[in-house]
Amino acid sequence: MSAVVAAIASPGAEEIFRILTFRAGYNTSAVIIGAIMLGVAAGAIGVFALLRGRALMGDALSHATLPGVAGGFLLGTWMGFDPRSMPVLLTGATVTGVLGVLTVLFISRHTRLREDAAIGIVLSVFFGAGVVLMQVIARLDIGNRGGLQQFIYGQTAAMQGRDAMVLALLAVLVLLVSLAFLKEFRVVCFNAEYARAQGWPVGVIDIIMMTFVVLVTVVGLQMVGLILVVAMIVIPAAAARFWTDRLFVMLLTAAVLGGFSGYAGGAASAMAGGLPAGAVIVLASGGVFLLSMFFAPARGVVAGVVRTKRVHDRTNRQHLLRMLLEADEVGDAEGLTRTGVRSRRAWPGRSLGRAIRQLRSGGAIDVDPSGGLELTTTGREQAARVTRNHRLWEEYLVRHADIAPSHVDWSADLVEHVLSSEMVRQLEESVAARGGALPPSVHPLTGDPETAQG
Amino acid sequence: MSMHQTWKWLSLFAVGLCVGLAGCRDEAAGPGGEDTPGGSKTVTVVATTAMIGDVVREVAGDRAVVTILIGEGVDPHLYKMTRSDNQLMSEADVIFYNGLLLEGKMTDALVRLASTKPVVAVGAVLDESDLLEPEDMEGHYDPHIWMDPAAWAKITGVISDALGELDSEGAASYEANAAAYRERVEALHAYAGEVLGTVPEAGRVLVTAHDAFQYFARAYDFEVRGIQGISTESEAGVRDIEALVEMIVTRGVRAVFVESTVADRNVKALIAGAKRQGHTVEIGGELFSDAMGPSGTYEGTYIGMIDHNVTTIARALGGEAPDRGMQGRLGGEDEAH
Amino acid sequence: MNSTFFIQYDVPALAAATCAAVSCALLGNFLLLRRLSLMGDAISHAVLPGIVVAFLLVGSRATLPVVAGAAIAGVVVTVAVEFLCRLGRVDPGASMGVAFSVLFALGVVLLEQTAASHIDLDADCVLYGQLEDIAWLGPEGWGDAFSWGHLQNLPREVLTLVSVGIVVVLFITIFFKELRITSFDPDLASTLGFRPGWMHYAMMILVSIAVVASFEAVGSIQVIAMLICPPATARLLTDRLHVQLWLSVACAVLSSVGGYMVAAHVPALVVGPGTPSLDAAGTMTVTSGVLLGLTIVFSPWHGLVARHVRRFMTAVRIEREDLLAMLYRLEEVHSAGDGETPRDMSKVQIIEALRGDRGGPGLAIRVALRGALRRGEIMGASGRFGLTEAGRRRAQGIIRMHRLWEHYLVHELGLRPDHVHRTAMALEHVTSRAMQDELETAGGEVATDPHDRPIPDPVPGDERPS
Repeated sequence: MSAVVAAIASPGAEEIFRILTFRAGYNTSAVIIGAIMLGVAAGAIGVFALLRGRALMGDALSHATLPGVAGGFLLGTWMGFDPRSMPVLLTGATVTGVLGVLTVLFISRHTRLREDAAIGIVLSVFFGAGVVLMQVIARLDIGNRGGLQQFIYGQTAAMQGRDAMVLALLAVLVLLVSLAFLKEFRVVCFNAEYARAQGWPVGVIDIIMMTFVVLVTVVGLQMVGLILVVAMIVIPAAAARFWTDRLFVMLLTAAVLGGFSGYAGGAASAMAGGLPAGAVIVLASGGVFLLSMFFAPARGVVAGVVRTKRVHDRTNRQHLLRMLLEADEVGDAEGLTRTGVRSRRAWPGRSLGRAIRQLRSGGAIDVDPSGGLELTTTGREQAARVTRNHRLWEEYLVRHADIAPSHVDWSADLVEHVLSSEMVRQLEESVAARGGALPPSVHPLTGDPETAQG
Repeated sequence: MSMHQTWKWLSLFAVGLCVGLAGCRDEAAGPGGEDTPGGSKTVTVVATTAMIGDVVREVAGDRAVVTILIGEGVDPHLYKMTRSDNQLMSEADVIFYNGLLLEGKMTDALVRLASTKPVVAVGAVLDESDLLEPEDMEGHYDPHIWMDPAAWAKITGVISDALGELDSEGAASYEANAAAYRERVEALHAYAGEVLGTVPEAGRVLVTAHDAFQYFARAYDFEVRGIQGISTESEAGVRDIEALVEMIVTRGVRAVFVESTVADRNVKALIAGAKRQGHTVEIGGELFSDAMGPSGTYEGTYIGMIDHNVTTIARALGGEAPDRGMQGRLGGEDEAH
Repeated sequence: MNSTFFIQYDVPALAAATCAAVSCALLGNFLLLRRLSLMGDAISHAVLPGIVVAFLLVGSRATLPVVAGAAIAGVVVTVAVEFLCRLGRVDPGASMGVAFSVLFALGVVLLEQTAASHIDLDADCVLYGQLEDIAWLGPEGWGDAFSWGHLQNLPREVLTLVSVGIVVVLFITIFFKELRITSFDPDLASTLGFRPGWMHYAMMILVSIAVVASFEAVGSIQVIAMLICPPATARLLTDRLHVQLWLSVACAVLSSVGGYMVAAHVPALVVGPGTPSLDAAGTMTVTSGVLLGLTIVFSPWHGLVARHVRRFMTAVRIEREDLLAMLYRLEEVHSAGDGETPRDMSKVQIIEALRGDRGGPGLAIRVALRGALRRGEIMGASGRFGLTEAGRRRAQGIIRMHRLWEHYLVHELGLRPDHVHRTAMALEHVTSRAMQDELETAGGEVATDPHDRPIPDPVPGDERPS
């Protein structure tokens, strides 16, 4: 292969531009457009499969086609057709594929096994049955039965204009159906039990959803091959999950990410020799997935780390404020120094320094050169607020939640930082109403200290 | 579930296990293996592929029962043995296999059996100069040796020697059969050289679905382009397809070929691509690569299979060859459909 | 010769298959709990890059480097799945899908980019073994089989799988408590001071090694199935983890031995002697699936049949109680002086009345009628049925419950009196002993229900279903 490619030479900038604008060659354009369309269709339908806990349905389905292919071959031979004709094999594949999906639905509905287990059962048992049948075929005295299962697996790079058209139609169909049934799909995806109790026809909705998973898998299987279909159903949807919590946005994101993976991978495969199109598209979508996982703003890892750090910072600032106020109340002069603060509570790493720096720049404390820490007026108000929340909650837990007093401080520390001012008012009322003694109160402030601090 | 019930289950299961083992023994004690037609045979032979089996039958004449494990039309790379294959092999007097790792994982079992009886790898006994070594792949010879009749003819000697050692009475007859068969294969080689020689120099490009025709190319001075590699996981790239289309158009290739064991989608993509550039290329026909035609037909023999490939290729690429091949038997009435 | 064949081929194949199945089934229990049952399938795809890289480094398709490469790829994919699940909080199924498809694609690209594309390097051809390839060619009969010399020559696959099995059993025995806690409740585990992360990574690495070792000996499909079917079967039979482990082992051995027998005997039995055997790994898989299917249908507690029978029994009990209550009300009307109304009903009337507007064949009603007769709660005379003394006492308790509920629903919950009959009809059958006591205290002193009908006195020794 390398010799052929060398004869063509690696593409220049102009060639790359032509590839990217669908003007390279007939085969290249067909593959890129087909891959985009498959990415859109599989990405969109994959969202529902993923949310329904059936991300690997495509995988199970494509394995479940094996007994159908073998059975179709045997039946076709017996009935005197040309057993290798595509319609016979594909019909068989579709029949057992659908049977597999129905088995998954049955098992997850009527036993205590969950979707993932049902998928695994169908995948292995159907495939095992297929292996047995293939072995029977291999021993029958019929010619030309080599590589039967490979026969129904397509190759991405071999797509033609007609295939791209079919995939485009499929993509449009999937998007239309997803949008039309968005409400139904949403309620089944997010809470099937609730939906059933509310009288939604969960079974029917599930079957509509899975019909399209079957359609995309069976069509994709014979046009682009097994691994690309499985990957396109799983990966763009899983990547889109990092970008949003809203179903509609997730649907569009998955379709776009899938389409982009198809475009990028297809184009890359057209730029150098020995880059198998299907595999390169999977790698492209893998790259998209990793980028999303780390950098997506909504649920990405980096965003998560930043958020956790912010919460920690906030907690530490509030601890510091409360400690300073309490030391001040009892006249503990040493508690008002950096060393004193450090000795009274564990401050991991540089968290104390950060808390001091942040409070100081927020104007809540003053730091004198000898390490003494002093609350400013604003700081005192914030500290009073935090301490009051803390004690209020502590009281509530002791009186009404049957928590041993020795455990309370620990929980109060955690909860105090998530209390909203509205919640505090409610707590205050409920404690007062049930005759709980209010803690020594500092005059409540109008603004939330955190918003004042920025 | 109580402990008591657990034990109940376990004991039930233990009974099942005993019954199972007993059942296996019973079967093993019964008549194993296949029926032996005729009583005068002296040697029981197992051959892995149909190509080898065909040659062994020719050499052995009626002095041996030959059983072929991997039937016609089955990819030997992916063949899986079963228990009855083990029975056949454990009862055989001699086993012939291709070697060069054609039989995949089954090779391990064959090598292991070699400690108990003659097990001959016909490919491995060929001279290194007869074998092809892919670039940068020292020691990993291409196993598709039957594609070159001249090289394949040499395995007759190995087979007649192995049979002669087991059945010294028949040694002379094996020798004679081998020589006769070698002559027929050499005639085939000559016919192939002749008809393929009529293909115009520029058109000697063989485009096939996968990479199994290297020996053929060497024997008859063709250039071979497989769309995908040998492994079933192998997959073509877009640029590889475009490059092949480019080559077909610029060199004016008249036909490309499909294989009996590989789907034809890749080949059709090439045709569509070339057509877009105004060059008409047709499917030259279906070639036999890893598997022969149906048994009982001419194409179901080694000579028929190669004859079919040679004739099909020559006619499709603009050479001259008789319509029904070297012996006028291609597509004969005995061909089962 | 024949017992020789049994020892040389059947014994090692069964030993390898059983060891692989047991190791996989044991580990599969924990994968099932963690929703990672498809790990076997994921690893079977993900080994490709490992094989290609091993080949490129060593330059040979020999078994050892290939297995080592595959094992490393297996570890990579399991660790990657664990990483995606934990760090990205991705659904376990999707984590596997992402990890194995990307690794597999990497393998395909590597294959095409290197000279490896000229040789046959797929897992089917160089990694996956076949059960039937395993032979123990030494011993000629049972006498030799236990001699040290021959035991030393046991096939490598059998020895490997026995060692893997021992390691798996030891791992699970030693860390059973940790595995149970981390699998069921990772949060609890971390507050108790276990490190679920490390436990999971350790288990996943063991899974990948066991799976690849089994691939090499018995091929992929049996491994994929044994990771899931036996544990799933066991899960349907018990709620206790250690019982589940035992049952899954039993199921794995049964599938292996049963599947092997099917492969060996069924073709000869069905088609005739001399028919080739079936693929044993495939039949073992199908056998494990059949066992699972039977369990789904017939499991004593979770099975479909059991559940339908239970539901039917409940329906029969409810119909019987309704029948007694109906006859009791009839007697009330009768003794209120309306001489027209009889104290008894014919079978047809009973069925019509109880069936109401539901329709259907009324099977549960017929069974309930027969049950009430057998218990001596009703008696029949010339085709008409009325309450016996025992039945009247039983009915009294039911009616009391019904009317107490009506009272409660109207007076405590403030429902309208004409709306509570149906609700009380449903509730009277499911009132537990404790609920009954609550009701007694709530409405204990009341004499009539909201419709001014008398609430009967409590019946001494009346047993309510709980």
